[in-house]
Amino acid sequence: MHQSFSNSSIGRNDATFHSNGVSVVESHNAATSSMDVCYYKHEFDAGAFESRKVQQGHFYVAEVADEHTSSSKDIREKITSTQALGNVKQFLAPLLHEKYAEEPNFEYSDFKPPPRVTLQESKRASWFQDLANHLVPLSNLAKRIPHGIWGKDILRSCMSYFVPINRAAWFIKCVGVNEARAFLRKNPNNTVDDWYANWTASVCALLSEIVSSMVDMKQRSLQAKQFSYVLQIITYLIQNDLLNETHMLQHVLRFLYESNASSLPKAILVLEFFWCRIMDKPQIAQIGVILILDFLKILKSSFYGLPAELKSSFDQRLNLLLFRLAYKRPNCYFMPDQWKTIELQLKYAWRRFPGSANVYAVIHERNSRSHRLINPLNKRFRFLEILNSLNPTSDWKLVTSDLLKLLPTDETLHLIIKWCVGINHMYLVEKPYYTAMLFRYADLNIQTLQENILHFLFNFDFSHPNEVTALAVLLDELHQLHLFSFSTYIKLLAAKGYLRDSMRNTEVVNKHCQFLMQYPVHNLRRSIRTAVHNILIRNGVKIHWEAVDQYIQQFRKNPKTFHFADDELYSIVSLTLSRLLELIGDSTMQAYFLFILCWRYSALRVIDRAVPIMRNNGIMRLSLLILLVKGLTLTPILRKFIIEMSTKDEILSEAEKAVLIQLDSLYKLDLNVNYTFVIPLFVVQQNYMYERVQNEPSCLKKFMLRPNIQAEELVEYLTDTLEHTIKDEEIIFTNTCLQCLKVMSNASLISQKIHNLVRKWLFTNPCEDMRLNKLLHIARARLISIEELSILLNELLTADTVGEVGKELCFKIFSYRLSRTDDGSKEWYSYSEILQLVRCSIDMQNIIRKAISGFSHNRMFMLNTLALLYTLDFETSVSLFSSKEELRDIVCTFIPQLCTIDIRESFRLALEKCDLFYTTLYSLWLYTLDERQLSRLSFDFLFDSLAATFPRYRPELWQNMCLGLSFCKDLFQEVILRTLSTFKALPQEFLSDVCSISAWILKHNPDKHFLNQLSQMFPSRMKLVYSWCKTVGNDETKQLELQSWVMLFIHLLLHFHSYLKQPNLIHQLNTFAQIPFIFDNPHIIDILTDAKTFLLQSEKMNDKAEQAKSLAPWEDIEGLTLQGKTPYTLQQFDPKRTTSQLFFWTLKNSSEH
Amino acid sequence: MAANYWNSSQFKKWFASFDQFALSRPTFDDSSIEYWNLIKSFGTKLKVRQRAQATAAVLLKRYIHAVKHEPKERELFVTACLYLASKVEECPVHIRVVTAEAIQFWPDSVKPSRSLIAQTESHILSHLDAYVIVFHPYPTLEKIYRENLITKKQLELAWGLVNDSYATQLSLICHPHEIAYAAALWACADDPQALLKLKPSLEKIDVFRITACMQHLLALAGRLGQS
Repeated sequence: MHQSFSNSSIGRNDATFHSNGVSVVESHNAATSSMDVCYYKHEFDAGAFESRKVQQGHFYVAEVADEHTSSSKDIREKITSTQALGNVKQFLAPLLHEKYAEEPNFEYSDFKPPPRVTLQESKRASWFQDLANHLVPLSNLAKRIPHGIWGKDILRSCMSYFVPINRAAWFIKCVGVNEARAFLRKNPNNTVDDWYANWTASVCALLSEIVSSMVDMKQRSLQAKQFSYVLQIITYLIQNDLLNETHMLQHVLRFLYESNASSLPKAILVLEFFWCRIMDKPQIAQIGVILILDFLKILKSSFYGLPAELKSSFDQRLNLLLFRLAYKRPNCYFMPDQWKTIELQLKYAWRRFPGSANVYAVIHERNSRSHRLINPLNKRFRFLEILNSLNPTSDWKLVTSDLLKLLPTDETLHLIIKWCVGINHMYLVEKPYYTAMLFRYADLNIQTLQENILHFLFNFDFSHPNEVTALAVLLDELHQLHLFSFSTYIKLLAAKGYLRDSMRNTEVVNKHCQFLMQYPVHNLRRSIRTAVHNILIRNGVKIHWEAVDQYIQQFRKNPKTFHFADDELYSIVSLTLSRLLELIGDSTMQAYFLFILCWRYSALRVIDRAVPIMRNNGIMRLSLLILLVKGLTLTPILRKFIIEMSTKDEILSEAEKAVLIQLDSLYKLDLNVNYTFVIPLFVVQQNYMYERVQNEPSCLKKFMLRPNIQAEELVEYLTDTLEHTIKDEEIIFTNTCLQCLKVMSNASLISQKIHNLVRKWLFTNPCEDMRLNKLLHIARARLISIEELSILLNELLTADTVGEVGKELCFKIFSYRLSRTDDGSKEWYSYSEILQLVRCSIDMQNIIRKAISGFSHNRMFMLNTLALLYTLDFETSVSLFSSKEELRDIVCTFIPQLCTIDIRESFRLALEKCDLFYTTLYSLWLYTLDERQLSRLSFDFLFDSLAATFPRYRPELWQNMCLGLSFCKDLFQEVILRTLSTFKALPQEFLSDVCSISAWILKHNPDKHFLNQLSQMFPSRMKLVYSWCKTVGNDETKQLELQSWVMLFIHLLLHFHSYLKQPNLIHQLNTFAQIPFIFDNPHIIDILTDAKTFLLQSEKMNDKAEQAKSLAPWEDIEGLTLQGKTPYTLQQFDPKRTTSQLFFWTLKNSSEH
Repeated sequence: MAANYWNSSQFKKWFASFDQFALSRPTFDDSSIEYWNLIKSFGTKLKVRQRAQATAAVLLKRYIHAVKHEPKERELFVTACLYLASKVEECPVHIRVVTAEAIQFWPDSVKPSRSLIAQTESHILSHLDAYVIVFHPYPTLEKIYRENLITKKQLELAWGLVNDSYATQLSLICHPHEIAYAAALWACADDPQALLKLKPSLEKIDVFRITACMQHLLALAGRLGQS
């Protein structure tokens, strides 16, 4: 359009004021052009002649009282105190939309492009030389444009003559218009878009050819020049809309995959070049993220034998691109579906970039929240999930904040302690440590924490000895970290009057004595220790000093074979240890003693104590090895030691060096970093040293003497050792070998070897206990993946040849050690390790299923299996058991009263007693009921029961009930619908349960009826909620309830969106934002925003039709070309921005520039 | 001289494009606000009409834009512009009075003599190519009011905003009626009905420019309200 105004038509006006013609063109436009056809007529009567003025002269009176006034302050007040800003925004937004919706419609014009003629080779060359020459006017060249050059050739020709970009673009346009018209004429069914796609594809092909051909060293400088020329011209074409940018960028992303070892650097260079553009297009950027992450995996595993340094540099560059994207456009990482698969990779890859933690946290939060939003999880289930996923390397701070966010503080503390202590959950040796870490990072007042712990302690049911022990261990751990003071406990006992003579030997006091017996007293101050002893003696509790003395004698006799009995009381063990610590003067002995200790008891605490004495000791290194293989991480003290050592000015002793190297290698091991061959040698040295201590001939000596050791030989030796270690060496050898193997796991032959070894063990001989132990070690050291192991086990179970032996073996695997002791419940650590695997793998679940069908007669085994169910969700639990009766029997073992009393009574009891840890059991119990029993649960009964729970409603009650009652789901739905329509005020927890129930129904069995009912209730309820909002005022509980209603609406809206396709959803979401106190709740605001983003995105995804292209930019051969992007200062006036961004209308305090 | 804005020198010669201007300098800053405060205070002292003060502000802005730097003797130029504007707006003040008041008003600065003021006036005139007619937003505001689109109170609010707009460069980059409508919209912001009444008049105008103008006025209000 601008072309009709030449600069000359502006006249002298141009010279004085405007530096160029743009503004004048604009003003000229404004007055006459078609953009503002009905332009404002500036007419008023100031200049008109009137008879009054002629007679009396011109006299002007302003319409206002004070014409000098200023009203900025008034306006500011008005805007901040009223809805003014919103009104103006609402008023202007549609007007702006209208204005920019009607963009000029470029039709197919009758523009005539310059003619093309066929030229001879020499003439064509001279024509191109002229084109490359600035001095030859284009009008001369336009007379005979060479024919027959298009696609890759046209760019190649321009490139070979280095035609200036502007002139090259002119030429490309001239040819392009002709080509496009011919294309459309020949193929009437095709559109301009097709032609654009073809042309873009040919440009991409050229770029990819150039990228892949850049290998010739001689031509490198020329090629580099051509390469940059092509990039320049492509940028120019994209800027002027002469290429399909989306296609182009997609092609660029594909280059990564098409490249080989030699062209990869250029492909990455091209990607880097176009990355800014990719970042501007969120959809392409999202695809890019996935593609690059995939590619990084390929690059890591094997990429045409590229050297490791190159690989890591490429890895770094690509990760930087990803990080830049995350930094500038975190929205592009909004992909709830894929997030789980990529999060770890991203976290690991970005760990070196400054500020990555924050960026990652933002992205993670958004994704996980929206994930929950679409698929709302039971809060407490999520809580358990987090707890069960803890491992020594967890980020405690993050985990703790997550947990505290989920539930109120008091409840959180209570649940964590219960989780740690309860036998219903998977037993982990590290649980007390985890709990202590969680409490430490919870950043709570010590007073509050203690109060909570003591409250738990005084309400604790001391009936189960294992729980008591676990509690003692936990409190000891907390005591170590100064989070719990034992004297407060004793004081409280005294204050409650439990220490009076009259209370002697009562049930309550006996229970506390039972606990005190378990407590490792040696950790306490002397005075408290005496107090504890006094309490115990007064109440007639006998401390087994004989046992302690026995152990001490045993240790003196032969420290190296010293072991505690498997079922020894914790108090005895700890008393013995405290005595031993006093006895031992020799540091070597002390270290060895600690080494023994760490096998049986909290290894982390031992390591804390070990660090000060390990500097000059070789054996400690071995124990460290074992500890770390066990999957533990470094404790803060150990870290401090490392830092201290690394900053030490003096020359380190040999032992210190060795320890450092050891720690370094182990630390790396944890992070899965590649190793050089030096580190395994050190590990081998450790092995060698140990063997020397044992005075046994060593085949390792040959490795020590030889300068160059082959990795294969070492692996061979290690696997041999692994297989042939005898029982006494079991612990040390197995672990050391595994350690070495893990360190060397770069060599690909290891996994195969281990696989063969395991297979051999499983299939050729009945597996001995020791081998089984080793197998577990291997699985724990992750030298064999869970999948592989489960496949092997599966094979074993199905193989005919193995038969009974195989079954026996399976039994051994699943109930390992159970057969050894009468009271099996104490000894299921190994079993729990296997069960942990179940949570990760479906194959393992199958195996468990088979095992259950084979060993249902073994009660202990079944009980242990059920304990696993607590960590699984309802569906997995149900799928593991084939028979309902079995399941019911087991559930009833846990809650005996279920069998004995009437179903209605049990149901009522369930509603009263149900807490986090029992809900799954109850839902399983409900699931096992038959129709006859269920028929007793009538509609009225259910409705009344539900109504009765409202005064003290426990979260997730009905949700779990609903899970169990898949038979009478309709009944429950009816109850819920009736409740929603009957009651005006409902507990907020109930409302969030309704959210989850609807989500669950939609996920598993989309029930249109229930949803339709809910949606019919929706508008009237919403009106009601709005009307309440006005009356609520500052009543916080009411506000909370209303906020829960809003949450329910949001959830329902999202669900409806997926299933019922209701229109105007976003508008409805917007209406929520008008409720004043909603703005006080950042959580709801976030969810609203996320929901909007989600809806908008899903709509965008559906609306794939891109804007139709036209030939206008091609026909505009002589027109002005864009020189670049709109400057930042102008971007703020971009109408699209104005209407779409909320914060445009904020009151700025200073000048905006 | 033109009675029609579209044929006037203000539009044809002195109108700067939004984009061009935005790139070269801020719409308002400390100095522009200070100039307007000087003109306002001295203008009130001289008892000249608001429109003359506004004209003086615009003339000074045009001069600064033309010479591309700010004058060292601020007071002298403010005095000269006010003297010139009073003549342009047909409410002349005698140069003797102007000189005496200026000496009294700014006792510490350069003492302006009659000849100095006259000299400065001619200097300004030569740089402005003697184009001194200025169109203001006030008539548009009065017109809207007379058509009963806004109330008296709203008119007063809008009027005040227009007055404040002279602390910015908006008079160089916006058409007068745009400023008027922007001010009127802010004045009616808390009254959706009044906004609806204004809608038909806005159909003929570039809403985007008005929006941008409103944004500037809002920013200015934030700044002035703060100080």
